[in-house]
Amino acid sequence: MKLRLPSASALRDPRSWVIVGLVVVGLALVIWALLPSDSPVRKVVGTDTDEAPSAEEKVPDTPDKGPDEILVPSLKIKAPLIPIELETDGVLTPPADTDVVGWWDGSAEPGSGKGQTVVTGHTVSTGGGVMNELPKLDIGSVVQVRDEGKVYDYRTTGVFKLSKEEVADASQNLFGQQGGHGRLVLVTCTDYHDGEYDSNIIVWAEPIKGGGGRSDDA
Amino acid sequence: MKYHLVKVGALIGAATLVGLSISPAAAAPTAAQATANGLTLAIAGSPVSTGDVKATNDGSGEKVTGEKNPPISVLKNQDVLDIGVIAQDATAKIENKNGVSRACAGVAGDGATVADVGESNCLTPGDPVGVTIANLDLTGAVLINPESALGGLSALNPVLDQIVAPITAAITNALAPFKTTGLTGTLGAVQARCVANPSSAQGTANIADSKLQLDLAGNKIDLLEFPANPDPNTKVVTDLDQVLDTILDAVRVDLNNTLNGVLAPLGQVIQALQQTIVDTLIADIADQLAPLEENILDATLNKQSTSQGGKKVSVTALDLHLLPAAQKFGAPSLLDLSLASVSCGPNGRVQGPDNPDNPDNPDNPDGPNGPNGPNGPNGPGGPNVPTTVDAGANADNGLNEGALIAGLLMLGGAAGMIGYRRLLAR
Repeated sequence: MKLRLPSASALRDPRSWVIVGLVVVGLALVIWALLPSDSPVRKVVGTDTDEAPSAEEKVPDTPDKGPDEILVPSLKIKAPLIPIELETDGVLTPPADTDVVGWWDGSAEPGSGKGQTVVTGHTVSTGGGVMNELPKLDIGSVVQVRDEGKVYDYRTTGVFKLSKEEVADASQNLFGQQGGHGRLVLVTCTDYHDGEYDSNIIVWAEPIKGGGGRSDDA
Repeated sequence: MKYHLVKVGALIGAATLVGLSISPAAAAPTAAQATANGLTLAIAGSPVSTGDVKATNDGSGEKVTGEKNPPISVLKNQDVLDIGVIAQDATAKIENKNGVSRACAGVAGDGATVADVGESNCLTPGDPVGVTIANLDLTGAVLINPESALGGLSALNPVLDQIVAPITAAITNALAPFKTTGLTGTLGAVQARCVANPSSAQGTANIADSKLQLDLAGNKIDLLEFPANPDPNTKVVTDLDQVLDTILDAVRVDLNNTLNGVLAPLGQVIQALQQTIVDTLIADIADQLAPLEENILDATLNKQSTSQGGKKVSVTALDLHLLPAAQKFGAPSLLDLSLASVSCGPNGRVQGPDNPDNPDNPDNPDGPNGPNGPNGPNGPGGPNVPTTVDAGANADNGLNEGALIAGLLMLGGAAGMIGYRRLLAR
């Protein structure tokens, strides 16, 4: 069998280029679809959750707003923080990148001393989400937030598991900005059944005296 | 005028006192609580304790005080128990708004290891704990009451009155060897656990490979062999008849020896009288010793009590009192031992994780922070706080089905067009 190269006339035919275009785009889509979900290519290009808008879509116009990084040494969590917005239906969705944690831009910034700093990250049903280990956090564990070269230290005071209904009922207490006195609130999902998460893990961490905004290199 | 000033002052003072008395009630209620104590020992009223671990939670976070694994040195210089490991731990959590508390306490010998509270056991057993209670002094506590012991002698003739003093001394001397009497034994891992939620509280105790022996002037008597997993409030039943017989035999021998000397001048006629005296004294002493059967050792395994309508439980794996009858004579028990004690509850529920007294609490649906209020999710401005946090991702198998289908459709379309063109070219 001999390999036949297309003739010059065939290359001038626009229908040939349509076919070539279809093949190229189709192959690209198939290859991309076959990449593992944790592939950097997949993570950069888009989301692996059905409804979660991409992180890029959620970044507000002021990129400097909000803290930069969260660390939970006891759980070996070290993740970038990016601002996320509250959707109109009251849903707060973490960044689509399951290695990135979202800071709700309607909540207090670290060190403000008022309100609550609300951050949330994904739990992935098969593991690997940035907040998968959050339910194992012990009372007293240290949580740190970096913001513009400063480190804010918090100590864990409560780890709660609440159903989605209970979260909705207590939403003002959990996320409201009228109380809290600078509390850090970490949120992720838990209780995975039949493709759905039935509950949230809520962690409360209070600012440590003297740990509010020390220099990053201290 | 002065009277009015005094009256106003008195009213202010009274109001202050009332306010002070009310203020503690305004504190946040405890939603979950538990306490654990590895060992509390009192030897003749002198206490030694490992201290308590207390856990409480009022909905704003767990507070735990006390030493979870106290060093053996806290038992000071007591040589009653040869303990290697002490464990005592308690937790008080909020789970789905319910206060849930757990406690675990236990002791074991060298080589034992400590587990976390909430595990099936606090301790994995090591060597047995050695128990040695030396100088078990029975004479001063329950056994000797010379006046009543000699009471029967008053019916005898006046001659015998002259020997009251020597006989009293003889009885005292007869019991003297018991001063070296001791309680010995071994205890395996002894532990107690409990758990409580807002509606109930339960506890269990586990005692492994434990027994106690009583040494009476060189004679060893098996007192107790503890069951491994005793039912609640199992009273230890001891065969103290043996103890009683041993003591009476010793007294009988000593009385005969003494009376032989004291009554020798009276000759053979006195033999019957001697028997009467001995029998009378023994009977009287036996009466004196009768409480021994009930009171020398008061031991309860898996001692449990519930209160607050079953919402609180207290468990002590081994509760032991040696010579509690001494209290009748105004003295403390020779030994009081509480080994592995825990209590859980009473617990309650919290209105969300926050303090229900928190002004942010949306208990009032139409209040400023209520769900229908201006700041609430159903208020006029719509939600201003998250009501749902969608932070769970369903891991797929690595395929993006939409992209795969689209790609395959495109490839299929391209193949179709190629085929169609070839068909036309023929």
